[in-house]
Amino acid sequence: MNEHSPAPDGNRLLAHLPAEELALLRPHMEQVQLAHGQRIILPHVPIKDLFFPLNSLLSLVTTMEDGSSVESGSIGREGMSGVPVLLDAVETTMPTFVQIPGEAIRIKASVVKEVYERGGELKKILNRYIHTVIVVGSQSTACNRLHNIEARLARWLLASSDGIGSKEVNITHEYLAVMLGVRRAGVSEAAAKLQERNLIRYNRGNVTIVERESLEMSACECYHAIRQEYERLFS
Amino acid sequence: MNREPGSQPTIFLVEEDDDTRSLLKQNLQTYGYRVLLALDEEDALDHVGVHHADLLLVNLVGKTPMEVLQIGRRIREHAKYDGHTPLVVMAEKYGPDLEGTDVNMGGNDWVTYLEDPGQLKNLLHRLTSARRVEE
Repeated sequence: MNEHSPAPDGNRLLAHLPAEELALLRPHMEQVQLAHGQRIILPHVPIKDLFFPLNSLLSLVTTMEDGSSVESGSIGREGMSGVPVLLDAVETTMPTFVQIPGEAIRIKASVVKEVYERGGELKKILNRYIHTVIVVGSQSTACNRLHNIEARLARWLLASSDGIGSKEVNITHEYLAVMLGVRRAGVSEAAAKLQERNLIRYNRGNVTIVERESLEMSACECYHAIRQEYERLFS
Repeated sequence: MNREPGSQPTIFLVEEDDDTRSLLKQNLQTYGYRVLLALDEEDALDHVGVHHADLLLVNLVGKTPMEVLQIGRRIREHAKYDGHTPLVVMAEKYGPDLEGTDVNMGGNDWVTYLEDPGQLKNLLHRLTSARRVEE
């Protein structure tokens, strides 16, 4: 992880903080480069650092005993890793790893927790964020059960694009299959269908969103429901 | 069971995965194929051979490509299609070294390791076009 001067404005949570609370955190901020596949939270290991993505994307993955797994949430520039720390849970069962490499701001969990406990604006902002994490988790459960692969793939691509602030999303078939909890052939065919309609361009793990509005219309209602909730709480 | 001249090429698709089946069928139809569908090996053995097919496309859950290839060959033999009828197996688990490749397994039998969305379309087009020229 390379470190240089932090730019908190790139993360929506940090960008909403009043100057006085940001000043309490700023001396403890480190802007770091996260590599693809890097595990930033391990199951049942106390969480020491919180990461606020700037243009990277983190994935929370639930894995079953037979090795099958599905993404239960993602974290981009709208959020932060390590919510269990705020809730006094210290650790969690689910690993969090870097899905799309990029930059994030790292702050020691104990520092954020201390400012959170003061009960100021940071606490209000992070409480609202915790609410959106619950909304995303609930919506994702229903989505994985009820919506077809094509609509879920469109939703995932849009949410990831929002999370990293780019219309280019680097992700392989293999990871997309894990993220969506489906077989590779399903991902391939869903991507083929979106590409046939010229909504995306997919070449060797590099997806470009070509027609965003049309892709939004192809996504399931979950994308819009979650986005509206973020906008309601953070705009 | 030869295809009528000028008609659409027909693919006999064996697809076990409920999520993928309808999507794959729709895409194949969009590419201009007539699709005959079987849900699994048993269903395929019951129904294959009733109509002519230009190509067999097989995707089964929880089996290695070699196992699926053997099943595909059994289905083709059972249908009494000639041995040159192309057989394509869609692999499920594979590493980055195989991604994006179509591996010939002898004769007209192929295992495709999908990576790009257009890959299956191109392979099917190549195999069915070659078949038309042969006929």
